[in-house]
Amino acid sequence: MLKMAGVSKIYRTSEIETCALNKIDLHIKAGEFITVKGPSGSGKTTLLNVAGLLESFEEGELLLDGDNVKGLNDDKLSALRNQKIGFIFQGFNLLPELPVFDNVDVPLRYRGFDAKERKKRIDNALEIVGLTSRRKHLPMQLSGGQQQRVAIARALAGEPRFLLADEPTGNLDSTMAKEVMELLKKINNEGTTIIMVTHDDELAAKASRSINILDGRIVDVAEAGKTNIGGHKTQSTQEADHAGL
Amino acid sequence: MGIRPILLSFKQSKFFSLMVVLQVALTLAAVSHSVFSTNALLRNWSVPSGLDARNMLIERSQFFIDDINLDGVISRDLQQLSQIPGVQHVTTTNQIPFAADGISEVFKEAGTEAQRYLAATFQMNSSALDVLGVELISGRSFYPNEVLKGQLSPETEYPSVIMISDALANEMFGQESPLGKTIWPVRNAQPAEVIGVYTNFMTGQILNGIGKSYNTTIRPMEVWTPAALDPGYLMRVDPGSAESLLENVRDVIYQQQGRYVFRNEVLTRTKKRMHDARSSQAMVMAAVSVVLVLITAFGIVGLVSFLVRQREKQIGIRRALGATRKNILRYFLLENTLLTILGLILGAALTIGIAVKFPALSGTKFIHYDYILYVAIFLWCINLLAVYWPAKKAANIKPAQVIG
Amino acid sequence: MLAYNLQLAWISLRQTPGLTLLAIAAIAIGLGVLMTIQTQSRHMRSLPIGPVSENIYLVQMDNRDLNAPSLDQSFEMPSLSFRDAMYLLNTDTPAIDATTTWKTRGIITTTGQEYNPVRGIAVATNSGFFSIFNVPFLYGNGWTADSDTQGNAVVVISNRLNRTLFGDEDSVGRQITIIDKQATIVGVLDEWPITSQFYDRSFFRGFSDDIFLPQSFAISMNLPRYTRIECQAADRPRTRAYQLADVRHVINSECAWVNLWVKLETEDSVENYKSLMENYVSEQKALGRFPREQNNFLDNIVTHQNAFLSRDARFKFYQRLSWFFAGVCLLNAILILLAKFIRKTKEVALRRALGAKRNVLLVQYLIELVVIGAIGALAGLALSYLGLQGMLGVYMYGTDYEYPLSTVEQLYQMDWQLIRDALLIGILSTIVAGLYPIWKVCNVAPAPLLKTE
Repeated sequence: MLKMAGVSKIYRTSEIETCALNKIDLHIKAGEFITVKGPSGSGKTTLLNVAGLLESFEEGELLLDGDNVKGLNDDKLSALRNQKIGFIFQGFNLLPELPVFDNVDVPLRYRGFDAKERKKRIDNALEIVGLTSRRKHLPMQLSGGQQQRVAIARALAGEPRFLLADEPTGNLDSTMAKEVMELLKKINNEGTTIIMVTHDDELAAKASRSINILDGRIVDVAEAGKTNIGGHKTQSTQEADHAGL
Repeated sequence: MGIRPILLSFKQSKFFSLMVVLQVALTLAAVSHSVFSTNALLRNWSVPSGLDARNMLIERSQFFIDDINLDGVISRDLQQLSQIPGVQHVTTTNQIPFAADGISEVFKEAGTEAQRYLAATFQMNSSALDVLGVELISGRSFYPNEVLKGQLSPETEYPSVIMISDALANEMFGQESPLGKTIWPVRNAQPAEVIGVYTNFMTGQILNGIGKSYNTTIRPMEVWTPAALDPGYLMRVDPGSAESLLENVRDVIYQQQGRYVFRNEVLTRTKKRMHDARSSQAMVMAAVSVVLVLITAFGIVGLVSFLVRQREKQIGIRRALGATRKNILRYFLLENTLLTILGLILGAALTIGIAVKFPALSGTKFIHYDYILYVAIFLWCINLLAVYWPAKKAANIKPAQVIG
Repeated sequence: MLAYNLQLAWISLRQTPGLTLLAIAAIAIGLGVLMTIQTQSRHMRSLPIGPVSENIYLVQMDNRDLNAPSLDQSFEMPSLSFRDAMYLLNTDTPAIDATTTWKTRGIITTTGQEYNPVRGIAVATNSGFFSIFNVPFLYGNGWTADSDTQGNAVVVISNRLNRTLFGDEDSVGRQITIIDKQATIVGVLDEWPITSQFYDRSFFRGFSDDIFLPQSFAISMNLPRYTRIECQAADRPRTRAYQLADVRHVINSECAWVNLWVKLETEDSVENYKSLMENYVSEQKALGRFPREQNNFLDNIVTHQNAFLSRDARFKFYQRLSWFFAGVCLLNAILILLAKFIRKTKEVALRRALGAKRNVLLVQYLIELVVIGAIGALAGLALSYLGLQGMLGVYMYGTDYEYPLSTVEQLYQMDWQLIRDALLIGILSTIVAGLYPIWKVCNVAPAPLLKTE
């Protein structure tokens, strides 16, 4: 359902050109739970942003549900994000002046649902994350884990096909992280495709597939339940592998 | 996108919102007052004069020697002035157009209860219409033998004929023909028969100010009084020669001993005096208002730019969640509009309150409620424009760069 | 530390040039408009002849009809009739100095003239005029008290008229012709630094008067009374005639047209003069004059000027508008400064984490405000100068350049007080505008801000 073929992303300043993504080929099937690992600056977040249509790319093709997104205008991209993709960030990125209910409401507003439909979806999403009782609280009145659950509810409310999570547990202690992880797993089990960036090997192990990224290239892919198949590969064989992914 | 998130964001920045509201309110009050005042100043300011002022000269002089019989002087002056090459027509006059502020009351009937009509009465000789350059619409002009000459005394019998302007004819008689009608140029004094109606020409500041710029009568009189030994002349000259003839005209008067010329000018100068006192004040008002609106607008540009920078992350999040550029633009425009409307309502109340509590300029109608509305709409548009630029910048924020 | 703070202020100003410039512009423009109007207002309110204005009083006694409207303000009250003014001028009173004035005019020529006649606005007065009002002389002096009583044909002329007639030469002893009477010039005025013609109650600021001559001489010449004549009902129809026709009629009438000015230096003498007026009116009542209840006024020039100014609706309107304007600009400055300082929140958090006390930061930002205020004030000063010049230009244009620049420009002059006020108001209002923003910024809790990002 999401297919990247030879996607490259280059950041240019006046002096330096940085290749953030280098000819990425990636095919994600519906219902997968994929984790992306890699050191800081390796291009994980860029990959997620490109996949989430937040950033453009210079080369290659990106197919979402079989449709090529290259060349779509900003409004179309916004609509796609709104309908098909849900975001969860490390820093939660809740709107601080809005209560929980209204935060979850934000994407639904842009979707253009009527008030009744929005309320139904918000209530539903809050119930999934178990925060129905906190709907009138402001984000700062909540714990980190609760805030992240609000963010998840917001991502879920639009019933997206994809959930993109950028280190969703990075700012949380281990208990809370576990809670959030369980929640994501549950959501995945109900059919939502999830791509998650993480540092945590333990979390990565729970995914159906785990991708390692270094210097803008995918260097290693591990399927759940299997041993690491790319660990000792040389650069050239890796590239050969990508083609088959 | 709804209003609710905006209201919630006001709650978070009460001080900001309050300041914007106050600023808009004060600007509206100040600009409305300038507009009221400018309006009061420029009411009827620009109505056409009906006169070719560039080619008309005035000459007013005074005798400072007592016991002069002006009969001879006036006929001498008229003769000598009309002999100056370039002078086409000359008449004596008691008032000067553009400065005719000696207002008289004219009546359609005798008696103390009669309705009055305000007008400026000109006493001129049979050249009146030629000098003024106005046209006869109906009836006839004065015959030279109808012109009353000599010293005016309480026993003088005033001329029995009179001409009135088109505007005054309309006001007094409506659609009826005024020709042959009798009017009383002074309450209960000798009446006169209307023999002619001429096209309109400008009176002066005061009648202009009350919307009766063209109410005039002309009586056939070439007279003087012992108390004011000041014959005045109005001349029509060859086109373009007015300026160069001033000296010659003045010399004619100063050839006689005991005379003092206190006005010797082209009529454009008189016209300028009538207009400039008001227009210059209006100009100051307008300049001040423009600067004020600009200041408010720049303030709002600066403020919204700041808000945009403040909210970069929020905008990024909203964009990530599917907001289009238009959504973001609309958000800022709507937010500003809400504050502006609040400010405008407060400002309108302030404007009316102040204008009622301290009636600034007495006499004329000062407050115009519809003007407040126009100024408010104008300010709103300016504010929208002011917000548009920074809001556009906000809409162009790339979500990936601001959210981490 | 101050140098460090100034350096920081400078760096900060340069970091946000747009906002800083906007804040400075808002302060400068608000100040410019306010100062332009307030300076004119101050010049208008300044004492007409300096501090002595408070010691010179106009004598008024209500000699109107029984059915005239009651008046509780001296400004609307008529002046005195000739006989009452002359009695109080010549009787023994607590006043140190006194004079009467009324306006007249005449056409001036000189023998063997090479120029056209001049219309001169004249003041018929007494020898006391020049001492009570501290009139400065370029040449010669005022006339003596003898000339007052004998009606000598002497005049004092303004330096403007002297320039017209004699080209700035010392003209003392020369003759001029007023209408048809010869008079000898005994003095030529120097520039007389009065702000308006208070002495005829007009507070006019256009032309200065050209000719000063003994009242007795003016009466003997039957000069017109170019002044307001307020008569009782019996005389009212003849008011116009009283201005122009035989002066003997108006002298013997009950009409009020003569201003009597007295100089009183102590509270006691003011009280004494008041009781003198009361006694006089009582005596006259016994003779059948002064039909109304006693209603006397002894108000000084300042009181009269204030009453005059309070009537200037248009100017009051301008003043009110200038405050509005300043208010808008100040609000604007507050907003911009708030925007400017809130951007510093992170910097504040960092500095506080590095050990800066809140007060130290407050002082730092206060200094930044003072710098902004000072620059705004200087720019505002420049704008007020332009504003005053502009207003002067507009006034001259609007009045068709009828009045001499030298008398008009008094109102539009920059002075030290303007500079002081501008700096003071500029800096103070900037601090007022910025106080809330910097207080808010300095009170942020540092921790949460440093944690994120």
